[in-house]
Amino acid sequence: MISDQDRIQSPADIILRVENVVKAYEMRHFSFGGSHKTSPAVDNVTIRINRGEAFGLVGGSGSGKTTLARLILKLERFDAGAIHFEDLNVGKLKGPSLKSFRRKIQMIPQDPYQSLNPYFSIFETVAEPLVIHRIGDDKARRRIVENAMVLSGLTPAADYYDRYPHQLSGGQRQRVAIARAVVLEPQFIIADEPTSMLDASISIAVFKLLHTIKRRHNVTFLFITHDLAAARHFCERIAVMHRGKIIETGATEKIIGNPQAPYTKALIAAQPRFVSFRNIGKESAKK
Amino acid sequence: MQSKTETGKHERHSYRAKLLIDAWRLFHDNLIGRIGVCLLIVFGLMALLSYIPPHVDPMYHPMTGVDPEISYASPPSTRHWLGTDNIGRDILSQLLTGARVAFLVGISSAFISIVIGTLIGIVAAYWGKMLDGLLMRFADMVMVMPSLLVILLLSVLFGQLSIWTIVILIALFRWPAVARVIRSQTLSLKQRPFIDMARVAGASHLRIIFRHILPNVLPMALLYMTFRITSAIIVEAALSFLGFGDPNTVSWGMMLQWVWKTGHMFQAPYWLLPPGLCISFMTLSFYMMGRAMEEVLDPRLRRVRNAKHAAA
Repeated sequence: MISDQDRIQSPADIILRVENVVKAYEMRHFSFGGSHKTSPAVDNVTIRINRGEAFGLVGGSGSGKTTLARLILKLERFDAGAIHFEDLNVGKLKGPSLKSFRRKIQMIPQDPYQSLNPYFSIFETVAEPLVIHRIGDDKARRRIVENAMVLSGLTPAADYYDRYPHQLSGGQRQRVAIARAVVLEPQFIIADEPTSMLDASISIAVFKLLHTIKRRHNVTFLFITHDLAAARHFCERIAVMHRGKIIETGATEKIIGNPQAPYTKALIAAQPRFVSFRNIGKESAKK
Repeated sequence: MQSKTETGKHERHSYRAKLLIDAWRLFHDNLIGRIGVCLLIVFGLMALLSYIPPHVDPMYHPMTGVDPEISYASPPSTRHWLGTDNIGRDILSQLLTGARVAFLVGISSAFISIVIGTLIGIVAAYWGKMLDGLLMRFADMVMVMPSLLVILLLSVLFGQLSIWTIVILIALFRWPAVARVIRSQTLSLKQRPFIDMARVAGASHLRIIFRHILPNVLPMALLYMTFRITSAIIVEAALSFLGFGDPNTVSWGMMLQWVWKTGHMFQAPYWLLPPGLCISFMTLSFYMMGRAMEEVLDPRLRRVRNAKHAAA
């Protein structure tokens, strides 16, 4: 399970350690059987993510990747195993330590139409994390929000402050969600299929934006996707998840070039054969 | 730049404003809603005008004013437009005051029950599990209680109840339906990603409840408030008619009781009909408004005629 990539890293470089984590959902039966647990959504998963890297979590629908993200974010409790973020034991976080954990780890959601509170203006949306963590006074917040929005490509930022989500396009909303995620300057961002609801051209812009954030602020990314091409484009290492289990982990090129598990092979075979992202210019020139 | 954003501000509507504008468009198209609003405006004017008669002449005071020349139930005349009751008090003046009391009882008790119901509904749905079960079983218990009967018993036990006690008692018996609806709304809201995003940002439970969930369930709560108003007015009228109202107020139910008690039920239609019709039409108007609002809030109830507005 542990690839050579994992072994090289010294523990100090590892920002997130997920060890043998299990999460099963209870199924209630109104019969004599009582309640019992079905096959786990996340089954004995172990991953290590190094500081500063982009780690891809690839898998089909229902493979448990979003559940794993929710466990890491402590949106749900896991049944067994342990998650360590830096020196924090995520499973045991409470009160102030949980709040400081929330400052360090943020999320870019999947669905830009559902992830913004319709009653919040864009400024309120982006500034809310600052208000929650009591960062800065009004003036400082205005400046931080503006920086985050400019970084996310919402310029001029002041034009968006008083708008509401229903007045923005999907791509703009996703940028707002990204601005909200980076406003706290987190060390770790989980991006849960951030482009699955966007069309291709906007997706590429969002990818560029994530690249910029990663490079400029040395943010570690856990990038969740069902799209191998996207993972290849963005991630240094990937893990392939299938039915709640990690079936393969390693450097992106290595896994795509030489897949071991049958499911990974099937996944790669199922990819539409397009030109790779890097060759887009050349291919169209040939035609 | 500054002026540009200034002018831009007026074009940009908040989500709340957009909802209101959309709602008004739909509402405006709705005949039932329009009739309801018109009736309500009439009753609102009645309530406002109720302050005038006692100033014109003390004999028009709804409670203590007595016409010195009339000491029997008299039919409408130029002096008393709707006639007088059996001791010479002006019926029109009583009717106008009754509108004020009906609004007071209806709106304040509906408001209290909405506050209780919304809070309990949100709390039950948000924390779920044991607390949810406990609160909802409690709501069921209150819901199946025959509220009129229980309030009657209480007033027998504690003597005459004041109007405010009645308001609070009605509110205490009428929150469960609100709590149920708000609970189900909150249950679905809780699954919406923006609530998760608030949690990821570190928002406290109070913040999530009051800043994220409450504004989203408020329209539904307001809708239920109109239905609560209807039932509160009816309960108060019933109590007063049965002689358990606040003897210091002139409500329509109280007027009906006076008609009944003094044996004028079939002798003085000019005395019986106005309060009776007012109770019916006022509850009807709130009900109509509620129905129209329901249609605005629930797209499934919209008829085809309204579809173009929904799309626009």
